[in-house]
Amino acid sequence: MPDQIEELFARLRTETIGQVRPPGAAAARRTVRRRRAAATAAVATAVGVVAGAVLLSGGRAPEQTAPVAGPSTEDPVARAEQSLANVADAPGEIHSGVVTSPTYVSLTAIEAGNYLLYLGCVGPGSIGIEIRSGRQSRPSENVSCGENPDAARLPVAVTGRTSLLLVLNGTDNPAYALKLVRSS
Amino acid sequence: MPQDIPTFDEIYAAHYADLVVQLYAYFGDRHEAQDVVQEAFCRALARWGTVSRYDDPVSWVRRVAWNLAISKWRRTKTALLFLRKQRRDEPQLAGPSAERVALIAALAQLPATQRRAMVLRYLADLTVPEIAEREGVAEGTVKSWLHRSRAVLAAQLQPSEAEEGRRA
Repeated sequence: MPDQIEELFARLRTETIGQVRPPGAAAARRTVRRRRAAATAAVATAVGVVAGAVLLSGGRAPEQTAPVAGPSTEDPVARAEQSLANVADAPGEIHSGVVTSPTYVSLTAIEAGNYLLYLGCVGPGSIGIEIRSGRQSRPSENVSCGENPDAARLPVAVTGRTSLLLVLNGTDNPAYALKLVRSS
Repeated sequence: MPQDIPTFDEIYAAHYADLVVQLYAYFGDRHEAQDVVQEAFCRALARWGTVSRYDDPVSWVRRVAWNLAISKWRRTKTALLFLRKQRRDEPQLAGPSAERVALIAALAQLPATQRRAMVLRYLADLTVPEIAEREGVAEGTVKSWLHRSRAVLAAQLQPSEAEEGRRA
């Protein structure tokens, strides 16, 4: 039977591949292009929004999460993403890249509630992060970077559905990865 | 070296269909498998500069597709709607064979870890050590999963074959 099982899987593969119609690499490109355009538009919208009701708790030093073991990599963006491994399964999207000051990240359609903004950054310097919603703005907070950093956690309280605009200013072009995770 | 880094198109062309088969065998829905694999490739493309330098970019895409499927596409609603619209022009295809249905159904009876091991072994062509590393378990554990899974599949699939034999 083991040999038969191999044959069964081989036939499954052949039969299924024959029915798969790939949307194509060009379709993937269109999707990525459309998303980037949407993200850019969302940044513009977030900057212009007046009535985003949001309370941004400030003044507390960012907490550091426990270090996470994982495969080491030379790529600083990937290392920054690894610092978010603790919240990898939580709903929400990871935003990552290199800070070429200032770098804007838009988080749209955020519902009311309490959140933690996880931010990991890789490099010799630090990242200053300012959180804006409409005309409200929380003073910039500084997050130290490292080679294999722990993600900082910044509490964010949102009182009504809104968009957030994160403004990142870094020293020495650090890599970053961030994710907004609902805490309650 | 730039020539050593595979292009996105090369990786897509070489692995899209295979990854769909793997996800289909694991989750049992071919259309959903196609959607999550396409979404995983979109995510890879968005950061291709990074992903293409990984030792095994396909492994990254597979893992992302798997995670997307497990989380029931919570984060990919927009892309899925887009892809479903794309499928309107898809030609009508013949249904799956009885053998394929039986295999998918038998796989669905396996515990998730064993089913994953079977898919990775027989459809992704990973070795036992590679599966063990991916799953974070000992090689012996993987061998045990595969052994038990083969036994269960054999038991589930043999009666129908016998019935077919009797009918013939």
